[in-house]
Parts: sequence; structure tokens; C-alpha cells
Amino acid sequence: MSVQHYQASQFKRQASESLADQQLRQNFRGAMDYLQKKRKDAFSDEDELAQLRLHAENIRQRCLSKLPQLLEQLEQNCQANGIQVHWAEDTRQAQQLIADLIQQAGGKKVVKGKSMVTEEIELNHHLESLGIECVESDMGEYIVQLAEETPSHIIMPAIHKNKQQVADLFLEHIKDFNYTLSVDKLIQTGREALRNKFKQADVGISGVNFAVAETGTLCLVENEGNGRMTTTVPPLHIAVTGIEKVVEHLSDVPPLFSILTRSATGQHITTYFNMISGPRRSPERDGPQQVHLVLLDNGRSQAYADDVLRKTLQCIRCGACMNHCPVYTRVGGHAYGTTYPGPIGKIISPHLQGLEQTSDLVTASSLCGACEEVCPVNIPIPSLLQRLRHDAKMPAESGISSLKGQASAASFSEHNAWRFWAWLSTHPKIYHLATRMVLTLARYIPLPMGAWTRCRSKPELASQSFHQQMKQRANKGASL
Amino acid sequence: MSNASALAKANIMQRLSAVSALSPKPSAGSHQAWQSPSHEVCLTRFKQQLTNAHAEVISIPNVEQLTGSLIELAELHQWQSAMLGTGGDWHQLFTQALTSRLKLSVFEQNFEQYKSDLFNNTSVSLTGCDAGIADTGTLVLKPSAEEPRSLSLLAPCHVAVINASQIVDNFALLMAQQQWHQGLPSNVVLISGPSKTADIQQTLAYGAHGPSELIVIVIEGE
Repeated sequence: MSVQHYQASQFKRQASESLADQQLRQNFRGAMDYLQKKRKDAFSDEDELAQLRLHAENIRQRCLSKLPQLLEQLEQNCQANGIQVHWAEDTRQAQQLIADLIQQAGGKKVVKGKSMVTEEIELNHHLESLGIECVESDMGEYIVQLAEETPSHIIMPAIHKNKQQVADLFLEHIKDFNYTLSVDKLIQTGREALRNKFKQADVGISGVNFAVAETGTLCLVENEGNGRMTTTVPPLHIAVTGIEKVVEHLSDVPPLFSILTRSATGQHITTYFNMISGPRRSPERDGPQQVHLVLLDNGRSQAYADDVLRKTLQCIRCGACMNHCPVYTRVGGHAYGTTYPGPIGKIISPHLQGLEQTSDLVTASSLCGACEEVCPVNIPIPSLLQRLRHDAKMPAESGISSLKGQASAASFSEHNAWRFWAWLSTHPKIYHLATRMVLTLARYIPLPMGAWTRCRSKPELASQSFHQQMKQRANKGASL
Repeated sequence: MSNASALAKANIMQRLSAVSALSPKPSAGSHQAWQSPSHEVCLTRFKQQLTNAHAEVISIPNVEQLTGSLIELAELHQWQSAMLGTGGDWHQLFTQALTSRLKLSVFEQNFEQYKSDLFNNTSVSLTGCDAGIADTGTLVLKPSAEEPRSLSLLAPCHVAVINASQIVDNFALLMAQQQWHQGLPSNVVLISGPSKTADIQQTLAYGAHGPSELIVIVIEGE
């Protein structure tokens, strides 16, 4: 099965295609309006929200400031609990490590709970190439997998589809499906199909929302119960997470959990909060016999090394930034061509993929600030975007280490244009001569002016430059 | 840990440890989760939040009513088969109420033994609760050998029984009271309603993968 491939380097083309897709735009507009309203209703008390955001930001910053110690502590406590801990520096290592764990257990069938990190390492694809079946069990992810697509939203993966499109997909892929547009019946259809998969699965793979160092506990947040199925039914459970998800204390969890669910879907709590501190312990009757935790870096330590960019790692993956982003709402999640779309995707992807691939993404923002305004942990996304725009074009400043793909979007002509402009601006006589020339010649500037006039009217220049006007005014004043 | 994993760890740790990350400002912000002025208010909120989340809440004045209430439910829902753990606070009463009315199974062997039945032939499973959280209308379960994890997960209906005295105001308080930081059982689950999803066109549907029905019986008296 080959997944339809979007690429970050093709953002501009993909964005134009999405913008022209009326159905897609309608689906996203509806979904974003719904999620924005849900979030707003969940934070009726603005003071409480302000306090809680500061608190959540503080917890995340504290945990990041101790990250190496907390990772050691997490590993020790997990191992004491019987959870085996593994480390991977990049996608390839993680793929191999997970495949080895599955193959050592003789696993052929895998069910996956919703996990963006496993999307990041394209795990399904890799396992399929080894002849291991890997089925997504979150309803949205399942739909997306049937359609051979990737998630278009980190919380609601199939948000780009309406029920008609889902029904068509089921008709094509699920045997004995009675065509219906009833969402209840569609979900029941998915439930039945997936229950068989859970029953047969040798391995369950999940993500992690919070990994608690203090007690060696993995916390999973969900509504459907597929996360619990994945971590309860198969004999082997593999949890995969980015190294930044660790929190220091159990007491850090309730405030983060509360602001996470309210920011994401406007729920005060999700149906299930699953805290796993080990495999089945004798004399317990159920639960997996083995639990493994895979800790993945994949570029996160690059963000960690920089005092400013480190804030990217505060993210708790609620998706509020994309729900409120005027760009995401219009182009949808696939156009970005990255695992994490929207504002958070624009600031995390350069570390995962390098700036060579992602330099267009960091420019795809009006810097309106909506993302920062709703971020539950106060990540200053617009200023991080500006920083990354700089890094995409310019070499690192002295004392700051270069990012992957630093200055890869530097352009000779752009660089020279700025140098010329700087020279012109510091030579007043030539500058004034030049502006007079531009004003005289302006009427001869042809239409259309390329990209500039594609969506705008041609700018009308004033008949006199500002300098000329001021000079005239000064002359008038003197003559009075 | 394999060699590759050990090497990966060393490299990651080296990169992280080379950084002197600034500590944040000392404790800015705060979070005070919901608190109740009285136990009545706490209980009311618990029941209201669960009801809002589409759970069925049944209040009974004392434990003597439990069997009667279970018998009524069994008839109303026409349960064919039920699964219980081997122990817990209510095990005897569950057995007493249901044993002659439907096919009753007890989880006394390993999961693999019951897997097929739990997936396909169990109408309802019954458990107790370790605690309740009023703020969010949440049941806290600490599955054990006596009441395994899958009892609250695989059957289409889950009945949970809780004493009103087990309900606390909020999650943070529960953690502190029970000293969770001292160590946790292999699994702790917070349940706040029946399984649900809004993954198709933001339309809420119940019974996505877990139970489509959650029935909570609250014993209000001592």
C-alpha cells in the first residue's frame, strides 16, 4: 500500500491545489469553526485560563530545563516497573528497533493506537515492507489509512473528509457494508472491522501523552478506547514517544491534562485517561506480558540546544494552533507535506526534516498571532517563525550553532537586492534621483506584475515622493 | 538494551547535556481545580458530569438496594451474559443478583482463556471503583487480579459501583490523598463516560471501541 505523498518542499503547489478544492475548504471551515467554539466554551473564565496557561508553561519549561536528568529517571523507574526502555536517534533507528522487537516476538499483526510520532517515522510503511500488517485503530486514522492518505490534523486525522466520503470509502474497502450516511452506523462498521483486528493482533503500538519520570508511568489520553484496546489486548505493547514528552512529577499531570483536552476539543476531560506503569504483574489476569518504551530524538535535540527554539518542545500537541490558524483553515493539513501541519508543524518540522525541505513552510504565515494567543503553554510561535525565516536565509550568528539546512534558502539575487538597497539608502543624492526616476516611469510599469498583481490591483504611486512633499512644505513655510 | 540503543542513548544524552537550559521563573501561574463547599455539592457534580457525558447514573440510598437495582437493570437491558472479577467490594452481591438470571462468568483464569467470550459473548461486565472525581465526573479504576483491566473495556456495557464516600473533588487532590507518587499499580484508568468519537464530520457517536453504555450505581448512604 503506498501512501499518497505530499512533500514539504512542494508546499506552494500543494497549497494552491488545496485552495482550489471547494469541498476540502468547506470541510475544514466547518471543522475549525466547530473546534474554535468548543474551545472557547471550555474556557469561560479568562482569568483561570491565564493562570493555568502560565502554570502549564512553567511546568513544561521546568521539565525541559532538567530533561537529561528526567530521561535518566524515567528510564530507571520504567525499568524498575518492568517496562523496557529503548533509544533511537532518528527515523531509521526507530523503525529498525521497533521492527526487531516485533520480529523477536514473532509478531505478524500489529494494531496501532493514535500516535503522531509513529507517523513521523513512517512506521506503517516500514512494517509493511517487512510483511507485517499494521492497522490503525483510531477511527479517524483508520479512515485515513483506508484512503491511503496521511492524517490532516494531529487530533482529528480525517477532518478533511465528510461522512459521504467516508461512506464511499467503506463501500470500497469493507465487505458486506450496507451503504449508509448515518454516522452512528459508520462508526459501528468501523468498530466491528477493528474488533477483529484487536482480537488477532500480536502487538499493540501506541504513543504517549505524558511520560512521568517520578513513577515510570506512561499516560495516554483518548475518547474511543482504541488506545486501551491496543495497550490491553495484544501480548506485546510498544509505546513510542519523543524525548520531550517527559514530565517530572505526577502532580504535573492534572493541570497539563486539563489544559490539553480543553484546548484540543473543548472537553473538560476525555473518556479515558490510561496510566500504564508496567506489564501484567503476577497474579494479574490480563494486560500485555511485555511493555517497551521507545524514546525518539529525531531532531528534537537540535531545538533543545537553542534557548529560543527550545520553546518549540513545550508543545503538548493539542492542535489549538492549527484550529485557529487562518492559513491552516484554508489550505488544510496535507498541503504542508509534514507529519505535523499548521503553526506547530512549521516550527517543529525544520528540526525533524531540516530547513532545506521546510523553508517555504516558515514563510506560510501572516504572523497574525492567533496561534500564540491560544497556545496552552504560551509558545511564541510567530517570533519562532521569524527566527526560522532568518535561519533559512542567513548563516548562524556567531556563538549560535547552525541548524540543519541553515541558510539553505539563501538566494544570490535576493541577497544582492538587499545589499543594493542598503547602499542606495545610505547615499541620499542617488536615492532621490532614483525615486524621481521611479515616479516618472511608474506609469510605464506594465500589467500584470507577476505574483504581485495575481490577487491584488496594481499599486498606484503618489505623484510626488514623501521627500519632495516635505521639501515643498518647508519652502512654503519659509515663504510665509 | 541493544548496542544500537545504548549508543543512541549516549549520543542523545551527550547532545542534551551539552546544553545548559535555563530554569524558568519560579512558579508563575497556578491551577486550582474545582473544589466543593460540601459533600452534597460534590456528589451532585459527580452525577451531573457523568450524566452530561452520556453515562447512566443510578443513585441508591444504601447497599441493601444494590441487588434489587441490578436485577432491574438485567431485566430492562435483557442481558444474556455477564462477566465478573473474582473479588472486590461488590463481588458477592453481583453474584447473588445475577447468578440465576443470566449466564455468569468469573474471570479466574488468564485473559487468553476468556478473550473470545469477552469480545463476542458478553453483554455486560461489572466492577467496583477505587475512587471517583467530582470535578470531571470520573471513575478511577485500579484493575487487579481480582478485577482485571478488560472488564471495563470489552463488553458493550460496563456497570460500575461506587460509594459516595469514595468521591473526591478533583484529580490533583486524589493523587495527593492517595500518595500516588509513591508508586502505582500496573494500570490505573480514569473513565468519564461511555466510549465515543467525533472523528466523522465532528458528529458524536458512542461505542467507538469501548463500551457504548456506562452505568454508574452510586450508593449514597453509609
